[in-house]
Amino acid sequence: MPTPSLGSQIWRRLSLRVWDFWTWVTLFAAAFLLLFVVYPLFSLMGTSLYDADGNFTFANYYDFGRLKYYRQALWHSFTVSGLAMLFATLIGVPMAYITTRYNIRFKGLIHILIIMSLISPPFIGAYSWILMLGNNGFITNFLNDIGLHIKSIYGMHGIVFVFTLQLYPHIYLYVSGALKTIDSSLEEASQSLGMSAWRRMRTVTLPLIFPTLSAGMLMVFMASFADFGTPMLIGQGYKTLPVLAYDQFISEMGGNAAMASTLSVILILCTTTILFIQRYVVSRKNYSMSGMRTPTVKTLRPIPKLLLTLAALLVVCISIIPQATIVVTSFIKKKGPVFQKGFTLDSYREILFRVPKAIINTYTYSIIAIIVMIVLGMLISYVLVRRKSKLTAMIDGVIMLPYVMPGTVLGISLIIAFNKPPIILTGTWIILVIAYIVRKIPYTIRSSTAILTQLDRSVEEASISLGVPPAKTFFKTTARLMAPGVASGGILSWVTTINELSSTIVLYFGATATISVTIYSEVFTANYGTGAALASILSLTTLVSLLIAYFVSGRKELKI
Amino acid sequence: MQKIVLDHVTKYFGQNKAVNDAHITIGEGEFFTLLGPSGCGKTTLLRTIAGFYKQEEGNLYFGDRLMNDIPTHNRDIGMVFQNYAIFPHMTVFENVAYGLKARKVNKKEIEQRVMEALEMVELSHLRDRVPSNMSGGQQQRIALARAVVIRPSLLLMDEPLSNLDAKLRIKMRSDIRKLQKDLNITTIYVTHDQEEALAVSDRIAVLSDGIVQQVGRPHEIYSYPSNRFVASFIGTTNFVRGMIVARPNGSSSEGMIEVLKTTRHTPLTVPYEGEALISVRPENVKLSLSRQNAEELEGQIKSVTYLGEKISYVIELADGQEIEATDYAIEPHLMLKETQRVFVDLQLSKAVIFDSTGKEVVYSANAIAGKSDLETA
Repeated sequence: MPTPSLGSQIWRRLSLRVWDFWTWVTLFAAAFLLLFVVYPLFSLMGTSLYDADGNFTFANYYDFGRLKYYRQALWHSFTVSGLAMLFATLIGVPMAYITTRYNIRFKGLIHILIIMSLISPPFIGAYSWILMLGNNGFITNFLNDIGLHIKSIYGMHGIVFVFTLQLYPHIYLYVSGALKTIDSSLEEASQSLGMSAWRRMRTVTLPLIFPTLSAGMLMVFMASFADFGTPMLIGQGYKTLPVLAYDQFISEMGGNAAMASTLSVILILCTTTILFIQRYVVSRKNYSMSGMRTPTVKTLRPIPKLLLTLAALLVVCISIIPQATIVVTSFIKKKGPVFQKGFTLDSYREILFRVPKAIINTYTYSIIAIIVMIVLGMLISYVLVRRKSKLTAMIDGVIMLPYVMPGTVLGISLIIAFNKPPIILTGTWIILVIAYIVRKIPYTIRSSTAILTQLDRSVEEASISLGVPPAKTFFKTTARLMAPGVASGGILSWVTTINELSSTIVLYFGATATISVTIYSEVFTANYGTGAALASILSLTTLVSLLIAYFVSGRKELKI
Repeated sequence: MQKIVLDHVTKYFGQNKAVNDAHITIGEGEFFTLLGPSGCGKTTLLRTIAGFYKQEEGNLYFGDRLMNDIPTHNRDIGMVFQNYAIFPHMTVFENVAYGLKARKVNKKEIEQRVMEALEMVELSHLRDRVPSNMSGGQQQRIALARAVVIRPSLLLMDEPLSNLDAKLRIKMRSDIRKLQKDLNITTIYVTHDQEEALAVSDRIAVLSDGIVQQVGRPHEIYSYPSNRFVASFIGTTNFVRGMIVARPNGSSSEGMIEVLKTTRHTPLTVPYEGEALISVRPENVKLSLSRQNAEELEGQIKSVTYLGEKISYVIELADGQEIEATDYAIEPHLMLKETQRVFVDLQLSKAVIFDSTGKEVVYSANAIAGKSDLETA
């Protein structure tokens, strides 16, 4: 048999490929990412490779390896992110298991409070803890008064503490979603084989939710790794890489964009490596479940029920404290920046007159961004799961990049890329919306792909065989079945978008300021009352979003 | 309703040929079954016909229409899946109406046709229920109604009964058969269950390793398997070793075969000499307590299994090989006992004789009958 020529081989491959709606989705996604992720990233890398005089050099990387100041930051970043991931898992998995599998009380309340603690803007969350546990915090002072001396929140342990309480909801949301779709017959099969409850969980339940759990763990790690608000406020001497990069870029002594870019590139390399490790592990443990027989909720006897309810409530109460502190603060009477006894609405009155534009901006940009994220996120996750190819593998890798980039770094890269022809976007609201989309869409995509891997594709094939074209089939069947998963990721995308600070702070200018940026400047000008009022508005928005999701879904249980 | 032509279709998975040069014509209104063990390529072939896969080589025709580049949704097929693939977010009615809506059928007609289809599968009383908690049998009925309500030109079924319990499987398969004949839809049915295939099909294609081994009506496949694989896969059979010591020559169509030191004349369809495999169905093995003729072999009963409508015996022959025989004479006092000595008649005229590799038929009653039919005609 003669060997076919290369040309005919390529032609054969192309003619065998089915050109349909999904081909165009794949190509569009690739183009979008190329323009708004890859191109800015290359601009960033370019900047890191030139010195002040425009000569090509590796000096910045050499400095990084040479100076302990820089290297230590990398080590710090890994330490706090790793510990935060560990503790968040240890809290998040049991919380998810207890709330999905046992009939404990106040499930709806616990669920809402967990989400509420998630949305506390990192910056404000850290600030609240300082108010409570700082050197002059009211809990610290109270404990001092009764003769107990505790270590203050400042330092590595404080960062880990704040990250853990803030980020375990990621694990909780992912895992509870997965636990609800496990086919109960698998656990029953294990039970029938004589496995005790504990070993059953270890040998069947945990391995089955592992792909989803690892996605949640990854999210915690990346969020900790990329965050700069918390380590900046309570790290003090303990500097992480994003803080260092931010310092270098926005230094009062004249920024060093090249060194900031270098640090960013190193950061991206680390996180990308971890991302690929997680993907590799999950790719070998891919399970398809129809989830038609969803697990039953176990009825507990009164005492265990009470104890589990109390344990769950304790965890959510601790994690909600920063929010409560802020809401209370927003109502406290003050004279200038000084708080007084008594309550008032003055702070709210003030923000309505002083910064109404920020509120309008936040909602306008976020709504545009979330619509794009949901539509694009579902379509992209579909091609990632169901149309695996080299191109989709590349998309999958690239799409995670913005989410491993600290917001400030993403902001810097967009500025470097789009402040010159052919495309100038700096100073427009569009660049903010783009930053939000590329930075927050991974939440939607991650949860969409997670649920999609658990959906049986023959449902879709049935629809196609009945004469409905692939694209329409998707919207009539798979998209609807994906809805719970998409919604849980979409809610995360939404609430993190309205709270987005780190990229906004680089990309905004006066007219495009958002609530989060305004909070930042209010706190820095010691207007704690108005800052707290703005933060309370964001919390309220989240609460309302959740309630809407709850009522629209029409389910007894809050399903997001 | 139309004929389906598979014209030398080959489908690769990587370097493997999942379907290797399938060349089949399926007639109008025919109930055609693809039968084979798991991994034989039957589902791949079905999915290629459905358009979920595209073959690398060969052509696929529905009637005279070349289908190679027609996407699945334009092929006008109804498909029933192994795991039912019921839309969990829709009611029973909505599931069945789905394909009609896609075809822009007006509301009144949808209502009427869906209810007709639901009555056919005896589910009209559940029309507004959500299928999630229904039994497998009910879900499969919904799937069936959903596939036939659109009056497809071709109905494809991928192991539709394999998730049901045995009793239900038997009822469902006769229901499916009846429905198919009433509606007269050309149907391609995939199963690994040979009994099911024999029960429902007009014709069967037996597949192994991606290759179509034999195509034929159920009794042809059973009685006249074209190779050792088909003989052993369909039903139970005994392979007895023999040696053809004289081939047929010009004067006679009979050769000589030696089985366990007894030599007898036997008709052969191919001039072949050497080792042979004789495939004898258990029901064609005749046992007796006294010798009836010189060709009978001596043996001893090793085990007796009572199966209700029949009795199954395992007999050890003189050289140690074991063969199975079944008997339908069920008077208990007539049952043979273990260790009893018996005489075994293999009834070679009803057997199929293969060459030593089991790939070529050297004798089959079918070929002789066919030849004599031709001669008389």
